[in-house]
Amino acid sequence: MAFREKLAWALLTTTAGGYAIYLYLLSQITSAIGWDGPVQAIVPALIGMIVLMTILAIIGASAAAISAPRDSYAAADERDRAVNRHASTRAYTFLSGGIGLTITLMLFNLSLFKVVNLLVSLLVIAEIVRYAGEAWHYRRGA
Amino acid sequence: MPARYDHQPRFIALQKMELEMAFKEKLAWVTLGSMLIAYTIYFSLLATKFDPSEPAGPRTLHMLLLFGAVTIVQAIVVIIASAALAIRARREGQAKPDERDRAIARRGASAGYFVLMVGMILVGVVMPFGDPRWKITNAALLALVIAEATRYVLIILSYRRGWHG
Repeated sequence: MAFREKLAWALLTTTAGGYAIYLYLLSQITSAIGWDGPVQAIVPALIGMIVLMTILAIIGASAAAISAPRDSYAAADERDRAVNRHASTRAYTFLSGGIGLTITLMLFNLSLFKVVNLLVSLLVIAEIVRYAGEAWHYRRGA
Repeated sequence: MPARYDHQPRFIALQKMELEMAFKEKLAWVTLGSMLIAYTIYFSLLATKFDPSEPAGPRTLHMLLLFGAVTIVQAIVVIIASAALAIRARREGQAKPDERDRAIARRGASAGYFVLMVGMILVGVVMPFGDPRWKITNAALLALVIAEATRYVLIILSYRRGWHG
């Protein structure tokens, strides 16, 4: 497995893991205050997710670099850039579609608490789509 | 030569440039131009016609009507211009995108994605803690417009500069 494929898998796993923790914390918050509470209530979950994702991503990237030390210093080649563009295009389609939907829902008075959670989820899922796309393209040999 | 003919060399140069352009590049110009005009009008009207000092901001219905009208007019302009370009381009207009077209489209989307990501971090993670709803809605829309403009600018530049992927 190439270094960049390992990196994509590592970041996919850590991002999905961080998001799962966020959803767990969110479920705890919403069971206490419901889905229309103050937006400040999600700050601990949001900070927790960002810190956890950062730590896990550093660990994952370090593990990928240790397993392929020579590859990790090499600059991205033409194939790596093409794979990245493929994956980013999918993520862009998902994110712009999701934001279009969120804007429409906001015009119809969706609560700010739900809007923030929807936007955070869109951001994280778009990154998951991107990493999954990269891993898939490397596997498929694009 | 009299002054009234001074514009002719520039006009001929523009005509030559248009003939040399790929069909997809022309489409990108049309979409970018119409989008920039439409949303400049939308955001200008939003800033001038509605009173931002009101705590509730512009009424949702007014904003929705303005947004809907601008978007529909832009869509109609793009459809008519694209159809006219396709008729003029004949065979090229009906051809499927080739490998280079697809690579350029992906390059544009990839750049747009990172612009949209930055915009959404501001809109979704920073703005909700201090700004009113109508501002957040319009900031999200602005982020989407900037990301799309970036995408089309990169598509145009890639065709102009002969990028091959």
